[in-house]
Amino acid sequence: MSTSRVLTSRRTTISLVLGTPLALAACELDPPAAPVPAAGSPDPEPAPDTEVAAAARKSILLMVASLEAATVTHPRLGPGLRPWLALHAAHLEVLEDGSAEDDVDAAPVVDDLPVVRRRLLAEEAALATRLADGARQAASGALARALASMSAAVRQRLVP
Amino acid sequence: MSSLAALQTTLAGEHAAIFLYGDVGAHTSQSREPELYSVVSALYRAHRARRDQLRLFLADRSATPVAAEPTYDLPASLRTSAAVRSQAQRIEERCAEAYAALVADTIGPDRDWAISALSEAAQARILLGGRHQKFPGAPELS
Repeated sequence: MSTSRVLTSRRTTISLVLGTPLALAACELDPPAAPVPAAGSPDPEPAPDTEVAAAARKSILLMVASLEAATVTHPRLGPGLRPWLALHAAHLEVLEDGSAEDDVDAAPVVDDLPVVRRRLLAEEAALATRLADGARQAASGALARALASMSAAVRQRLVP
Repeated sequence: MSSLAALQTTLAGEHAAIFLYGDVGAHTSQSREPELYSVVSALYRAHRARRDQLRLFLADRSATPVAAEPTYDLPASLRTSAAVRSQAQRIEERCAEAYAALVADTIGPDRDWAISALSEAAQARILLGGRHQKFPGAPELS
């Protein structure tokens, strides 16, 4: 078994250097939208977009840590996982906001390769769901659009 | 863009997609390419269903749903299955961009709908033999 630890800044320096991070959490493209309460339920407080973006970033980092841990334990998985890692790196660049490094640990990797594959796919599917949830919660339309697109990209890669 | 205008724009996109899928379907042989035919047929039905849903969303707001154009520009030729796939991918890509825009311009159930539609359009691209994308519907983020 092995684990992997990932630091945000390692993968996201490019966006800081280029000045292209969209700072989507504080996007000025549109004002915060009021949430639509479900009928009969109390109005939930909308999560500030900084939290929505941070949660998405952390979810992606956890996924990256899982992929890297799997690669360490099962090097044969490496080539197949590279496109996934590239995808997540691209998404992290967009979500970079210059905040402090996140430090995440992956769950231990088992020795059974088919089990590892299945678990990774399940984790990717869960990530897609979390990103879509973030898109629903975001007050900024631009952040919502970006997160929805990221979720769609993960779902797209899950098509057999 | 207001959510109403965004819904109308998306509906206009569905009208175009349905028209263009009609052409794509007419150039797909059920006997020679059953898999492609099946995918194209399913996507055609999906766009019709979305068109109907969007009409309802607009009607619920007492808005008049935008009508389809009499015709749309068709590609010069769809003589090969590669051309058919490519055209269908273009349709899905355009729709994905419309759905992504709708995500940005809406909240609540409308946004939920747009998030799902975007995901389905991204997956449709793969079913049509297209390549993976890093930001379906939002290519400028790449």
